[in-house]
Amino acid sequence: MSRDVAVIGAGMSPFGDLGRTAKSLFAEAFSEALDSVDNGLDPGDVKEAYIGNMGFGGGQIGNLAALMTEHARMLHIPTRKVENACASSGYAFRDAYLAVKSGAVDVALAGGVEVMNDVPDVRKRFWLGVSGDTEWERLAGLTFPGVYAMMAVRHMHEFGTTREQMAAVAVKNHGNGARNPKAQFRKEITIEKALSSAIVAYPFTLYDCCGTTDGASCVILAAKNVVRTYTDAPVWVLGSGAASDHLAVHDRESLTRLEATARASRAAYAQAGITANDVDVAEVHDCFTIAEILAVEDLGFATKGEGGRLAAEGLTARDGKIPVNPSGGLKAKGHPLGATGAAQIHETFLQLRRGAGDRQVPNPENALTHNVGGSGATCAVHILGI
Amino acid sequence: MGGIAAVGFYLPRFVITAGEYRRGAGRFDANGIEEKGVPGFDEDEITMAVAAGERCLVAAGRRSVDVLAYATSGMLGGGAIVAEALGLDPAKARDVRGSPDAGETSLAGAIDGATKDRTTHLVLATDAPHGDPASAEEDARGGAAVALLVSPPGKVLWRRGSVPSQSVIRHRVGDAGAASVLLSFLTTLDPSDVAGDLDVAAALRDRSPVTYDQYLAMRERRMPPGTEFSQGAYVSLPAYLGEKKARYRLIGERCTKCGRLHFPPRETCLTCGAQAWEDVLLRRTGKVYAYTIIGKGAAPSEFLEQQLAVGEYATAVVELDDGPRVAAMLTDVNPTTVRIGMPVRMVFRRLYTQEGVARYGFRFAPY
Repeated sequence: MSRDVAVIGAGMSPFGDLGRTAKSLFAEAFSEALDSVDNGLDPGDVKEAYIGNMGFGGGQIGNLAALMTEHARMLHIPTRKVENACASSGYAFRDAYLAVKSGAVDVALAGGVEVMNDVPDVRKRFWLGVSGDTEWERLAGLTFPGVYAMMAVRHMHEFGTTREQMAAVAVKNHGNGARNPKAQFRKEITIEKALSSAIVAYPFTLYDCCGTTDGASCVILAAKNVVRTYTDAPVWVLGSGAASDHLAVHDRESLTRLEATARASRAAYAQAGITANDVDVAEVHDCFTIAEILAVEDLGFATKGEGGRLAAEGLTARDGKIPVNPSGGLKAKGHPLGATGAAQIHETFLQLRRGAGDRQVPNPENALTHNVGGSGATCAVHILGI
Repeated sequence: MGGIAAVGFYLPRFVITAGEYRRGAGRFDANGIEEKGVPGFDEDEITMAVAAGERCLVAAGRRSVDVLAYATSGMLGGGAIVAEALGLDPAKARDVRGSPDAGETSLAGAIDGATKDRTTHLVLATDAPHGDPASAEEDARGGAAVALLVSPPGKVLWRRGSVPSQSVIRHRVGDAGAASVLLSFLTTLDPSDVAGDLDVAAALRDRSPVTYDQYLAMRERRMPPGTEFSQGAYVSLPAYLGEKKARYRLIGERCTKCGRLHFPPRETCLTCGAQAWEDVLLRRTGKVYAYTIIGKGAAPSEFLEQQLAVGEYATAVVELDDGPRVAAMLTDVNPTTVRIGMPVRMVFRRLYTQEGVARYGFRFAPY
């Protein structure tokens, strides 16, 4: 038994440095998701829950999912945490999708939550970079920005990509974030400002990197046979693709291509029966500026090596040929690790239903989300449409 | 008759002058010392002994010895680690510690053993400043290591008291404890009598001066208050030492079924899925494939101490000349001069200390 599946509701907490608990943020995201279901939905209708979370800072590492669902009016529901680093809730969404598609349940929840700013700085830095390869990469002194910085150095070397092109990604995404009331960073920036801020890991300045963010996101999925009970404007899941790769970058054949992205997107396009040319808006995993450049290439929006030019020439702007990260992306909207994947689905849910306000892109019919774990060891790609 | 057949020595690349030391410390209580050798932040008695030992074994063309004697004036032993880093049997290592004449004692014992038992001995005398930098006892102390291979057909003999104590070594290396006298002895040898590099003068010229602040930083090993290790990522000691061959000696694994070479080691062959391996000692040279520079305050906790002491560092993916790539920190290099394609060579260094245990392994340096 295999059925069509739609997203019928989506919500998210504000993203930022919020001074709030995970359960409070998650409860807010779930409430907003419930409210977004046009004809209403009883929390008891949700039969399975998948909660993305990395566990940043320690806190409630074990059994987190039960705590989240308990505080979100879903006591006693079958629930579990899904962990794939920054791709946790992209995979939580895939798991919920497969549960509904398989016929096991009619309605499922995919969410995510991460609180990253409630720990002192001296403790916080020990939690950055824990999703890379610890035995070799980390003991070479590499950090998370460091691994992506090496990809950037290679991309510059192989294709002549410039720091200005990378900065253009940051400028675009901050411009979009300025129009997103839930974004962590809501100020436009300039190329000059991006280039002149402090170097974090050569060639990255502060503005090449996403921040540390608190936030939660929730998405409700329903099977085709029950969809009309809840809404007349469902957003269909047209394709779900996922893939993995070597954990350590030195084991990968190329540092300028994320194989997991290429494979996950190939599977998602095939299932949806579309190509990259048919995608009208994309939320991609821009944890660093180079990550968006790699993503637009590996997803097929640009040929390899041309990703930097795409941003610099405005082709990925809201009114460009292929709008990328109208939410502000991880760069400006924020990147609460475990919440990011479901938050991407939330943005495309709004965009496809023409509900994205000041940042609405013109008349999208197909949307793509791209969620990467760590430096590319895991990836989940989804294609949604109306 | 047993005698010295081959030698090797290692001088750290940094040096501090008596004047600079006096300016910084407000005293320099070390007669006859004009400058002294300063081990880098990732060096210590053990890493310097490995460097000297490698040179000596290469000169001698040997891959095994009957006895390895690790001599140092400090109280910490190191012979077993040095043996493993050199590919020698750690069960044949012994430590001779706690005395400045540990090197001479070990050498005399080695010659005696080689003569009576026809055994081959590697004598490693190594020393680094290890006291309290605030104390005047620190002033004279310098770092250096020397290695001597003693074997039955060796030609050169050693007699106690045959080396003047106020040699060029004391003037320019400082008091390198157990290594001092044997290093001085090296300068008296004739190249036709022993194998190995004897050009101490060239090595002395090759060093870079440091300020007293830099000297202190390289001696400093202290985590800032509040630092906690191992919160989100942790490599346990058993996990670390389980890969000792790869970490200490760059030993890769070749699949015995299909022949594919892997480094770092993995559990199953990527090509054929087999799980049977033979060790391959990889060439230690390679090129920088990709790199970055980790800015201040951004290091993983294991390297926070290093970064606070000596600042930003470069780290890279190195493509080995034998093919595999590996992530490795670069050392002995100004980070801003690193480029893709830069030739680098493996060096054995102290990486970090956790739970009171120093962890050693490879880094790469330009050559």
